[in-house]
Amino acid sequence: MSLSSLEKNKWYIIKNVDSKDEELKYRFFKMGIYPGARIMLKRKAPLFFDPLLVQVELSQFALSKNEAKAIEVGELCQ
Amino acid sequence: MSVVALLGLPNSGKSTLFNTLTKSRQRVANFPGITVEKKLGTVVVEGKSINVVDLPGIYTLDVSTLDEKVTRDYVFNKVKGEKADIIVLVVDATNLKKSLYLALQLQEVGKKFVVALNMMDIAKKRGQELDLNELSHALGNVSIIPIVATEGEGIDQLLRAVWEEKQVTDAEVDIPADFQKQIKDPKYIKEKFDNIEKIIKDITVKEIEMDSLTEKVDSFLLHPFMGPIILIVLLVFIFQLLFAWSDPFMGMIEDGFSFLGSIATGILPEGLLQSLVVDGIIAGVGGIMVFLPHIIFLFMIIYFLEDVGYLGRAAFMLDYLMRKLGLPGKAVVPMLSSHACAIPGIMSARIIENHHQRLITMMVAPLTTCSARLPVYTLLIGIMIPANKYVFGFLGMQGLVLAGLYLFGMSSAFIVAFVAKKALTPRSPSYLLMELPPYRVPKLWNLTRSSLQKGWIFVKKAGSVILVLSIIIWGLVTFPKPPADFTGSPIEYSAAARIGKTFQPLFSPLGFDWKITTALIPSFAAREVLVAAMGTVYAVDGDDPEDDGFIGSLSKVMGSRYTLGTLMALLVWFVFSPQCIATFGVLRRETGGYKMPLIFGAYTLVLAYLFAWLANLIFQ
Repeated sequence: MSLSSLEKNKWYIIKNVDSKDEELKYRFFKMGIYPGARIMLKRKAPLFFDPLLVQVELSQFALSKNEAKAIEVGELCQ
Repeated sequence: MSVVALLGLPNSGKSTLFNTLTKSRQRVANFPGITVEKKLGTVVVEGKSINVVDLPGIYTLDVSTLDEKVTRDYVFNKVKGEKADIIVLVVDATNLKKSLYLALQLQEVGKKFVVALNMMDIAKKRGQELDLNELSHALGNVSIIPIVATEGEGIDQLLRAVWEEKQVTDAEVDIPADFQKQIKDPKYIKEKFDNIEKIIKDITVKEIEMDSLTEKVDSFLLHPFMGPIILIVLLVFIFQLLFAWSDPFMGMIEDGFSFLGSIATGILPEGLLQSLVVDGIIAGVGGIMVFLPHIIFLFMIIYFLEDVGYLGRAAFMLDYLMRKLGLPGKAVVPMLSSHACAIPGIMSARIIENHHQRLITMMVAPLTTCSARLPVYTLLIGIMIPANKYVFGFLGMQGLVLAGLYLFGMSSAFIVAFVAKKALTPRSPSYLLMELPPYRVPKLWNLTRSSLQKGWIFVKKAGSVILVLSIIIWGLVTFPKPPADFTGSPIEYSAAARIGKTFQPLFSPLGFDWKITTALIPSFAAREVLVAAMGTVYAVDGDDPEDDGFIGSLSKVMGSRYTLGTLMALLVWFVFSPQCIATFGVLRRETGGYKMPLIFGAYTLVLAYLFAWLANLIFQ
């Protein structure tokens, strides 16, 4: 599932983080956005619905839709 | 003297701890050779003074950006002449997990450190309970001191722990060669994060509740409809405030220096020395000091918005639009404040984390219309367009042209930024991946102190260059002195006029005569000086009772001498022309060398010439 299509305010799990841009990929990791972490779409930016505001575990991030493509998301099995 | 280095993630409360520890015993320097700021202070422990260094925030020890590299090098004692005796790792207790990667890395490389577990009050309020013994054990039996940096709680215990730890000598460790490889190894990553999950599980007695305050505030401030409206109102209000607050102080500074000048005029005998002191030094120093109110107030506003947590959110809302225009969301602050003055605007570009984007922003921000250009625009528009000329019967033509000039400046800045981005970083797509901190109550005294420091840095670091350049300009318009039988204005005999006359042929395609090219030289000190300088070359004094003051008589003279083409060319010249010397001084300081100010001077000169030439061609 792609990040921008998620239901808002619901927890999902990050299945994979991959990007052609290696630098970006490791930046995700460094900031704690890695496979296995819980993720939630909080809101989209007003006007253009881009960037997205997501919560990963206890941290909130602003990231643009283009970068969000690197994150693959799945249902969180309770 | 012993050195304690504060290390931590962005928004971990590192700087608050720094301020609490060092109070007013602090200063700001640059790391040698680079433009990353280094905050230094002292704290007294057991009767002995210890140096404290506040390092730029990092997420992990393997680094990518310049700021991060400084921190990494500092931790490994690779910064020349600097050595940290002990590292205090500042950790946000409300979000422990994200700091563990860095903590584990420190442990792994064998660095000695003490953990300051910050924001314990909020963590407790949100119901978190941790087993700190277990955490200490997991990190190699480090001391973990719970603190509340904003309130000064736990500081004594922290200092005691630092003091004890300092007695143990640290093994010299080198930067592991495989740092970069490690993070690229999926197995390493998985192991690390699994380990972090395990530690969190082991030490958590009671999990933390979600931050409901941030949630509530965000649903208002980032509301799809209300959010942008609040943002626009806030931005307009802030920059109105900036003008309103700064104006009286600027007036006081100007009055103060002209008072000083009049005293010096009274004391010193008339002649060269008097002119040097009054018109060269006092006017030059005054010309530097006059920027202080803008700088200090702008930074107070920026630090307030940053500390409270709104700045990142404003960037979140503006990012899409700004990025289409070639700049990141945060560039809205330098771009807008440059409309007051480019000096604080350029300095405020530090809020942009990406080095390239920061550089581009600093290089284009001065193209926006700063307030010092207004007197020039007003004079020229007044000459060309009668005040009673209206469009559609109610829109004043003069006002429309002025608005057009603002728009022209702003759009030029964005176009240059766009081109620069394409030319400099064609392949690296600039991305937005920014952590948004929770909302917090800012410490007013801390942000006031930091803003005052900004002002002081400007005076100290940019001031010297500006003063030297203003004295050179004073020399150019003063020397050589005309002989007693010289009938024209004294400036006509000066080096400035000689330079103006020499270069005039170059400028004749723009329609500039030697009087204009001469007046352009002192206007390099400050834009608005052009008006006075034109008055000087035409020997207009405004004392003639039949004329309507200085501006009126100058307008008459210029209106009768110059064609519409020349006046339009001069107007357009001022949209682009290489900015005042203070801009150069501050660009040199902020980019750490003369290269960028020189490139800036060259490109604005080319654009100014090109567009002024076009304007002259079109309106002739």
